[in-house]
Amino acid sequence: MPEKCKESSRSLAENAQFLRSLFGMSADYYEKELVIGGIRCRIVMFTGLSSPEKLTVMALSLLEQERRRFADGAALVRYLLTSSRIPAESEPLAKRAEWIERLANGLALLLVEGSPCAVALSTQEMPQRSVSEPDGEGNMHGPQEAFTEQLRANISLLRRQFRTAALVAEVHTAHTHARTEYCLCYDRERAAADTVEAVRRRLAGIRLPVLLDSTYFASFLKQDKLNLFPAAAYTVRPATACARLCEGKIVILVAGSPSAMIVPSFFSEHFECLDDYSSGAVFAGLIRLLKYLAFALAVFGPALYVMALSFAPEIVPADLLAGLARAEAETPLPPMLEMLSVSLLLEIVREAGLRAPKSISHTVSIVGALIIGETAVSAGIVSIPVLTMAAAATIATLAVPSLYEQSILFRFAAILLAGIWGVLGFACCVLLVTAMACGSDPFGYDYLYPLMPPGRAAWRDGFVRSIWSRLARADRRAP
Amino acid sequence: MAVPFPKKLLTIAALLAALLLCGCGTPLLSQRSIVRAVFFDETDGEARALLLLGENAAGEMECAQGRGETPQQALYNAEQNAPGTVFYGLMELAALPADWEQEKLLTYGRLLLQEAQPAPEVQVLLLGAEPPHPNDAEALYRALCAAQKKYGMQSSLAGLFARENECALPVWQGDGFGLVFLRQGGARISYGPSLVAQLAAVLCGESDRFDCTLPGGSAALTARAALYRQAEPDGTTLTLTLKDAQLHALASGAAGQTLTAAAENALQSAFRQILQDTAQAGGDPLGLRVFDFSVQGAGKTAPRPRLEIFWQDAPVTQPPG
Amino acid sequence: MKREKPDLFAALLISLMTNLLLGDGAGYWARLGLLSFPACAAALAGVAWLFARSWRQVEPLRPVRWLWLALLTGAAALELLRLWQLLCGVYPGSLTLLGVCLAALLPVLYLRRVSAIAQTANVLLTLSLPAGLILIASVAGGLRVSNLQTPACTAAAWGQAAAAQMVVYPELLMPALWPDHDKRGPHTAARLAGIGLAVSAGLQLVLELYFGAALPWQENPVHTAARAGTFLLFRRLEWLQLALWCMMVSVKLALYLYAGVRLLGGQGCKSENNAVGIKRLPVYFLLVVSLCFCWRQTDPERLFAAQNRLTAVFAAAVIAGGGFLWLCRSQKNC
Repeated sequence: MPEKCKESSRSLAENAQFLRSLFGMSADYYEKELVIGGIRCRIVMFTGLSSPEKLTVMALSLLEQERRRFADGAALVRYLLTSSRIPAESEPLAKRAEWIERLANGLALLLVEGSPCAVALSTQEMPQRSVSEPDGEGNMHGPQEAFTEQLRANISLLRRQFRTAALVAEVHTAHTHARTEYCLCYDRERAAADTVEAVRRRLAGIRLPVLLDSTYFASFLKQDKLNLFPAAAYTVRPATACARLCEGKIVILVAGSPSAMIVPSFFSEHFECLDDYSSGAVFAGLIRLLKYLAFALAVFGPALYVMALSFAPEIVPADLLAGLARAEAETPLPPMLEMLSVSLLLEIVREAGLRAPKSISHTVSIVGALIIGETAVSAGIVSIPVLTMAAAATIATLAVPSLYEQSILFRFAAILLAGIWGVLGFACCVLLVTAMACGSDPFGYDYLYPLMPPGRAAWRDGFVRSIWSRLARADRRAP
Repeated sequence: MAVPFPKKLLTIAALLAALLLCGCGTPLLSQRSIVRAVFFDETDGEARALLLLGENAAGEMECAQGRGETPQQALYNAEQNAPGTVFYGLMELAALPADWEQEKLLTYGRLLLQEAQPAPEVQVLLLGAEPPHPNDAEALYRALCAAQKKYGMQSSLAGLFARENECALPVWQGDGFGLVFLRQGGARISYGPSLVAQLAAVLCGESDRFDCTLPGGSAALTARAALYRQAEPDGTTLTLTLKDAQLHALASGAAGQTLTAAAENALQSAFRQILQDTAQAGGDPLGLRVFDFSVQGAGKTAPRPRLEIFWQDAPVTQPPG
Repeated sequence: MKREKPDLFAALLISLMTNLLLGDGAGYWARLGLLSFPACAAALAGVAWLFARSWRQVEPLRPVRWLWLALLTGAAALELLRLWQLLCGVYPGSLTLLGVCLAALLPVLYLRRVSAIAQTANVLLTLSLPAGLILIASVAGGLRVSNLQTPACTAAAWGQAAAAQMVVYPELLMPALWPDHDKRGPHTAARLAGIGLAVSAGLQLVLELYFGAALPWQENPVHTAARAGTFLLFRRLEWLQLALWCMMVSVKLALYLYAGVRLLGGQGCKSENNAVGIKRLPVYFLLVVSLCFCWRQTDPERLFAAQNRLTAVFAAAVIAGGGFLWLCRSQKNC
């Protein structure tokens, strides 16, 4: 008898009673006693996760057809594990903790009289969302699949794209109350071994009450907690995850979350998308540069406006200045407070539109547009130039959605600093953001790679993108 | 070692308070008086400063005037009389009387550099007429701006100090720009609105175009000008390149080639006059010293410079209308 | 891609540039400066190299380290004072001295690691180059060859140019503090001195083309010239220059803090990517701000001149002392 079978009881009744004591109160707990080859057995499963029909068709009917008799429970277990054609796992489950884990994963357990080991049968059938188009990360070209909440399904989506033996998908269980699984995927030939080990070790050391999304890991992977830049990137597209695997990155999938985490993540990756590599190099380069400009506008545009109006009006052309002065005179708040208020209001509208039920979200848009866009201006509460600038910044933020949170936080800080300290405040904010980006080194990598220091890599696939023949050549040369 | 919570709170509160308090708060844009031009003059030993302010809510340009014993006092009093906080950031023009000596002009120039902050690089002009009345200031300002654009005048405040002990400034005569060379000690060479003045302005770098009538009234010349200086052992050559040139005949019987020749003769004649006048007055108003020095060396007398005229395209000639 | 052995050369260069760009740029005429800067750069590089060698001998002496720490702290305070005075001249009444200190010191919070300082300096340099070109292009119309001066090449003139260029800035001596690794060596000092003086001489040339004979009495010539610049969307560009200066001063302050921590025997780390502990920042902030408030009534240029002299004396003393100690140790070994 294998060592690992010692923990459980040989008595079927005792084992069944143990499981009944844990799950008997649950309506989806199913157990049925049956006889296989003259040995009393019991099937246990969760009907929401596992299918009795599949069990009957794939396992029990097969066993009935074989018409074998067994001496004892151990012999039956041995036969099921090594000789039978039923879809059973190859290792016996000796520990009761393993029984609970398998049941939670949707497998059915076969308890056998006279054997302390149970056999897990793959009869999962749980309701799941089908692979659909991704909600965010809009792309015109490339695969239109998105990850789902099923971990195994997500792994299979990756493996369909990454069809080599180099892909490793290590499944671990997080230290959470719900024992959520997560998977570490990497290309063993390209990913740095020390980085993989560091990620593995860090994730293994995380203790969380609950793990509902891969983003929960993010703060644990950050070196500097004061740094607002994200430690990782996220994607719902298997194609993007596959591309990152080819770059030697690590993809972390969490059960129950369609969002894959990618580490280490670089600043320039937030400005890349699949369409960059599908379009022509010139157009792709232009769009990328536009995105950088959009980010700069989103973060620093309102602050520059406040700074110019309050401290350095000489920047503004004289013809425009008279109109701005008139608009400022007609509103009650100074430019900084006005800009902050409008930005806050726009964020409230955005948040309301995001959280509101779909049936009333269009009402939110109309109310937001009317109240802010029309009546507030007519009433003289806000001025048109401020509203225009804030709206432009909000739109620009959406050009780089993965840095949305950072854009908002930096924008508020920039408005505050520029409004209080003027030109020096604006400079302070620019340097704070720059220093944050420069000081971030995810797992020892330079966060601003390949943008800084500027070199060939910055022009090959950084600020702009080279043609594919050059990219392919560089990839072949890379170790 | 973790910082205790109350200490943390205190630090953050202090930081926030400092953040809020250490910005002084500047006046709102609507509370500023944007200065567009300043006119200085002196009467009866008293200095006067007239600030022309930007458009108010009614679209009119206001004035603020101040007098004082010193230029600083006059400027300060003018600032106090302005409706809001004076802002020099968009000032374009500083006008001074044409009959002032170079030293006095430099005094007022230094005042502007010191007091008018954050002032841009203003254009400095001299006014040949009476100092403007506040009611006429706006019209004068607009006329000066239009004329500056038309004649391509570039007379910066830095240029006032760039040459040691001398300067060249345009003089507004009401219908055009003349030019005056000023030298420390009172020496001055004045040219009224004419081809000579415009050529002198181009040679000094104060202008980049011609828009005048040739002496004798045979034709009117308009052209953009570029000047290139080349130092040679036998003297510096000034190559005057005329672009987009137009010659409008004012007298009947003048043909294209004749007009071009007449224009060249007029320019050469004007150049000779300028050289003669500047040689008598001394100094280096045309800025040729560094070019002569690079070839001749220090302490050597440079040969007389030459003017070569080059038409980039054949000038468009128009018969008398 | 992996961040190994971050190089502080860009930060040293930025820090050196603040001395040249924010200072009184009227030290010499361009012609003399351009002719003399190679020799002066070589001399400065030699001094820096000698200092680095001598420092190894005197480093264990605590009073010497504390003296250098005091010099660096004073230099940091002076830099803030100069920035404040520049701001007061351009935007009077817009910001107090405390505000200037906070604006310049706040980013130091995120510049605690060597890699952060190095990379931020790279970014700043990359931004400064096109910004500098834009600023020069925006005033190109005001640059006149006829403004160039023709000073006599007398011994006194050469001496004045050499004296203006041969300033031993703390940045030239700082490479002595970093531990040995591939990218440090005599070339660092030579590159620093060479690039620094080349930029200074080039800048003098541009300023002389703009100001002509008026250059010697300009207080902030670089900023005064930038007022004349206009470029496409923005009517004026000196705010851009001011913002760049402020960022460069912040990097300089972070560099001085890191150097100070090393002088105090700071955190040793195998990978040279040392980090200044966050608890040192309040001490540094308070010290520098206090010095600023003590010196706010004094003319910073005079203090800078005194600081430069003190730094030169300190360097000479370290070189002499290091040489003496080396001789003594050699004698003992013999």
